[in-house]
Amino acid sequence: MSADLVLSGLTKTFAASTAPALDDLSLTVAAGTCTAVLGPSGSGKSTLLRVIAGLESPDRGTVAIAGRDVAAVAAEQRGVGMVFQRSLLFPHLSVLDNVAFSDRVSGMPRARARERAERYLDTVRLAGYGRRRVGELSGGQEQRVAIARALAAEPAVLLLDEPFSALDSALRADMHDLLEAVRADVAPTILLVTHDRDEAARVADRIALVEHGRLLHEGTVVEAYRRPGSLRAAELMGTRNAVPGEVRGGIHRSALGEVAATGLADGPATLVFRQEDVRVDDRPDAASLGVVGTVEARRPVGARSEVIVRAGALTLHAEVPSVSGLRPGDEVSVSIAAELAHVVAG
Amino acid sequence: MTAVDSPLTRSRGAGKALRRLLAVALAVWFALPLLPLVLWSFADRWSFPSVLPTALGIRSIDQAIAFGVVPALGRSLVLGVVVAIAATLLGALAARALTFGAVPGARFVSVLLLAPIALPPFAAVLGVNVVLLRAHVPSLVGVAMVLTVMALPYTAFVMRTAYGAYDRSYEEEARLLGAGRLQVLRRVQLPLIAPALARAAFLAFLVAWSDYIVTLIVGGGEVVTLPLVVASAAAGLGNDAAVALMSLSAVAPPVLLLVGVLAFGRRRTRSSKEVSA
Repeated sequence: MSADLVLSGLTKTFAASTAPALDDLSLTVAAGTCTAVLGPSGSGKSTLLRVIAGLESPDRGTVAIAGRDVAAVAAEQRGVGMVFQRSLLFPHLSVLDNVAFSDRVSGMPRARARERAERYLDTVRLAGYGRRRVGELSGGQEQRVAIARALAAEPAVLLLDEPFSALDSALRADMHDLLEAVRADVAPTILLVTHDRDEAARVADRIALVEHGRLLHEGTVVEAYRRPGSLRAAELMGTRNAVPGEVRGGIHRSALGEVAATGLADGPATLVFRQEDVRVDDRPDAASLGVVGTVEARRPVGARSEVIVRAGALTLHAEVPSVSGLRPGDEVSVSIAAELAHVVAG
Repeated sequence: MTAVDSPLTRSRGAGKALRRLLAVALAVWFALPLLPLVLWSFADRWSFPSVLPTALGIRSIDQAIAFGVVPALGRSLVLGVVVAIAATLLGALAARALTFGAVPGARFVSVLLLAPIALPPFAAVLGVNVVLLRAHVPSLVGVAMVLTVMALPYTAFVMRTAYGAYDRSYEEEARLLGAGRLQVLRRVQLPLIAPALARAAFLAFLVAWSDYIVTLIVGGGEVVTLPLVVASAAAGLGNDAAVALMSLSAVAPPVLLLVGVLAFGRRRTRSSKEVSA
């Protein structure tokens, strides 16, 4: 029941604003896979989903589902399901009738629609909740019902518009497990909009970075974190270390040393690497890219600590175990394995 | 909106007693004027000095029937229902357009919709009367049309409040689940605004039910509704019992309707916390 989703050259400008909400955006989501669309607020992520669903029409560009251009297909016939941040469960219907909605609309007799709805409630681990009123559910349960309701319509493409961002972190983790189970079970093609990098990494196969309606980067989760397409993509993925330098003859030279930069033209380029991958030692590590500097500050980041090291004009960020004895003023060597560093143009 | 029973809003102690007392006082205040009506309805004779009727009986019923109360009651009901349906439908459409659509001069249109309240009915009706006569509009249709306009401010206002609280995302969600326009209307929009529709229809019914001036002037005496029968009987002498009985029968239908609307609204609010109107 899943299908390829191919977007090409989508452009949309709303009358009220001059900047386009979508700017020549092309993206392919293979059947049965999940791509997370990640980007800051107001980057056009929700507009993208609404255009795919048929709730907005693009100024230019096409949406193709299973190889077919759906421009002329109304939202109710596209076979696209959507779960919003708010569950939008119909308050006048019971939980079961909410899930049975799509079947009832398509003309299925009530008893059979309810029987099928029961199965989908089971899929989202809410068996036995069917008779409840919508107002009697918790936030997490509401989103589960919303997912069951969307799945019951057997959509070829399932769009998730920040469906878990109103939930607390424990519930969110539950929902991620649930989504994994659903994917294993019915494998719809999923496009998930989120502003949470960890959620994208946890749930999706691939990550698409969108800003100002443009696609900045698209690739696997690992690529998004470790091989971003541009400096801005690296920033959006939360990479804190960017060391300016220059590429000459396929070699990048910076204050940290030399590293291969294959495929990049000569000119200014930036070495980017994750703060999680940085090593901080007392002694210089000869094998890696590195520099000697002074610890400037230290602050806790969850169970670990972030250390800020100043080396000349450079400011580098590293994460160390919270039991580390480093303190501001300490002289340290900061290094990064060459295979964990990445060079981007600019 | 029903009050939520939370520790902050729950009244206790002296406040609770005071509230109960106030409720009883209000009930008495509203019910008291009806008491003489009940007494009069079944008083065959009630001479001046005595506090209670001097002779009880049901002669008033025959008298009221002789005044034509039964067909008048029927006409009033039909008129009320027709006006309720027409004004609610128009009010809902106007309110939806004003809330969601791009109505040119929306503010002006809103004011225009409320204008019938501000206008003295006498002034408007006397002019309209001539127009309707010249246009050969049947008097019953004319009365229904004018009363619909007079009820429109109430229905439009109630429905605007309802649509203001109505979330169109529900409609989008329904479409994505495969519902076409009619299905969205039938399965989502109408159920969600049903309590407001009931309230609006009730108000419109009341406008038609209790109207005297419009029915008298535009109807030209051909549309004899309950208020007209009561008024003509009250103008005569010795009809006190019949007038009392007919007045009581005029009070009953709206009260029954109100109870129905309230019960309907309560059932809905229990099932829906998000949608209020």
